[in-house]
Amino acid sequence: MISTLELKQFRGLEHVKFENLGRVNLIVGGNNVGKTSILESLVLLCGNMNQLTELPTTFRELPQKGDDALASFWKLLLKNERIYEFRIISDIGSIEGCDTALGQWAFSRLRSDGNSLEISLIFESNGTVSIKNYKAPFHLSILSTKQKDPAVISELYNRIAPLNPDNETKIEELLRNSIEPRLRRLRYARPEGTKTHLVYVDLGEGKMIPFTQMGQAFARTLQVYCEIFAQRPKILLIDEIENGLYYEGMEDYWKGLMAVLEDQDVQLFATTHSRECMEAAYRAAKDIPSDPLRYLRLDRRIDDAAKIVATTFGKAEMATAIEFNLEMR
Amino acid sequence: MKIRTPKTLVLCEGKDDELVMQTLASHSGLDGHLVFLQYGGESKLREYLKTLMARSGFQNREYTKILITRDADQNYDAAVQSLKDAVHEVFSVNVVTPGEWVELSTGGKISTWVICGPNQTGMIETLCLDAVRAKNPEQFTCLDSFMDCLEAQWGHKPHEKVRFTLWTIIAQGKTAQDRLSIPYAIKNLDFNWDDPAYASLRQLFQDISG
Repeated sequence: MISTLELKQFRGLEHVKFENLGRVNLIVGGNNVGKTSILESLVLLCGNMNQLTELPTTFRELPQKGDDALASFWKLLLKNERIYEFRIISDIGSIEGCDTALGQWAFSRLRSDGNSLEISLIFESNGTVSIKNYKAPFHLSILSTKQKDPAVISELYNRIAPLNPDNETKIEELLRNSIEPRLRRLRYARPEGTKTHLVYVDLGEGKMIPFTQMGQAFARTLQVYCEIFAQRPKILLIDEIENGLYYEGMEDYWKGLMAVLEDQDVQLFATTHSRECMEAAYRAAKDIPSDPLRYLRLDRRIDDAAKIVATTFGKAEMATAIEFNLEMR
Repeated sequence: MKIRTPKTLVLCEGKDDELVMQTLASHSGLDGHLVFLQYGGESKLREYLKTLMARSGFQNREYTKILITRDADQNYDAAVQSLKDAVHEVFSVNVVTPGEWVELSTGGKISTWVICGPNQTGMIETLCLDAVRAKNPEQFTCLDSFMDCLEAQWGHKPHEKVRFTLWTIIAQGKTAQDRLSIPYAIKNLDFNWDDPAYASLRQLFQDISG
C-alpha cells in the first residue's frame, strides 16, 4: 500500500503532501483544487502503458479532438512553465517528469529500492504518446465517471463468476445489500437476436433484464466488484464514487466495499463531493479494527489563491465533525 | 460560490454562550467579522480543536485568529489553566495570559478568554443577569428574596445560582418550547446590550474583529 504521496509542481499543485494514507482514501475539496490531479498522479505513478497513453481523456474531456488538445494536456502537467520538472514522490517509488522543450517528455521512475528505471514518454507531432522501456510497478484499476463499455464489464464478470460460485454469490450479495434488494441472481448471457454477451439481472419478475437497464449505481457497483475480482488490482481509483448512489444505501455500500478491499488487499483512492458519502464511509469504518479510512482534503488558501494545502484526517476528526455538524468537505 | 475573506473564529462552550456572544457582536456592529462556533464544553475541547485543525477554514487560512472562550465558573485560575493546557496539547504553543495572541506554526494566531473577564469568576449568564438587573432592578427585590429563602431552606447555595436565577426569569416564556430558552430571552426580554456588564467582552470583540 502507498502510505505517503507528495506532489511537487504538478498541475495546479505547487507542493502538497499526504501522509499516513489508509486502505480507503477519500479525496475531498472544493472545485478546481486538484482532486482529479491526485488520481492522475497515481496513474502516472502506477499505471500501465495503456492507462498512461489514455490518461488525457480518462478523467477529463478534451476541448477538441486533435493534436493541440492532447499536447496541451501533457504540457499542463507542469504547474509552472518556468520550472521544467514535476515530481510525484511516494514510499513505493517516484516519478520525475521533465519537459525537454523539444516537444518531448522524459519520465524517469525511481523505485523505492533505489533501482532507477528509465521511462521515455514522448508525444509526437500528432499529439499521441509513445512510451518506451515501460513496465507498470503495480496493477491499477480505474473507474472514471465515464461509463465503461457494458460488454467489457460483462466480460470481466464472465471471467470471475460463472465458474466460481463463491464469487458469484459474493457479488450478488454485495449488490443486493447496497443497491438492489430484489436481486435474485446474475447471469452472463447472449439471448437470441442480440449481438453481444451481457450480464442479465433476475429481479424475480419472470424476465431477466440487461444490467444496463438497472441504473447508474447498479452498473458502477457491478463494475467495481468485477474490476476487483477479475483484475486483482493493488490500487483502485474511482472518480466521484458517490455517483448514482442513494443516500440510504451508502453505508451498506461502504461496508461491502471495505470488506472486499481488505479481503483482496486493494487500496482505494476515490474522489467525492458528497458529505453523505463521507459520513456513510465513517459509519461503515468506525468499528473496523484496522482503521482503514482516511480523508484527504485539498484547500485553496484565501490569502494566496495560487497555493493549495493538503490535509489528511481520519475517524476521530470525522466523529467530532458529525457530532457538531461541522462541514469537512 | 462566494469569495471568502479572513475572519476571526470565536469558540464558545455551548449553544447559549454562542448565542449571547453572537448577539452581542451583532449589536456592536461586528456582523461578518466574527464567526462563532460551540465546542461542547471543556471535556470536548481537545477533540474539537484537533478537528478544527483538519477543517477547511483553518487550512485555507480563512480563520486568521482563533479565540477560545470558556466560563470561569468558581475558579478563574483553573479555567485559565485548562485552556492553556488544551491549546498547548493541540497546537504546541503557550497562551499564558488570556487575551494574549500567540502565532501558530501553521499560520494565524490563537488566544483564550475567560468569562467574565480578567480575574473574575462567573459565567456568561452572570453578564446577562447583571445587565437585566441594571435595567429592571425592581424585579430583583422579589427574586433575591426568593433565592435567599431557598438557600436558607436548603442550607447551601443553589447549583449554578446565576443560571438558576436567570432561568427563573426566562421560564416565563409563553409556550413550553420558549421556557428555559436563552433564544426566547434574548428575543423577548429586551436585554440592554450596551450595559457595562458586557464592556470587557464587547471591547475584546472590537479588538479582534479588525
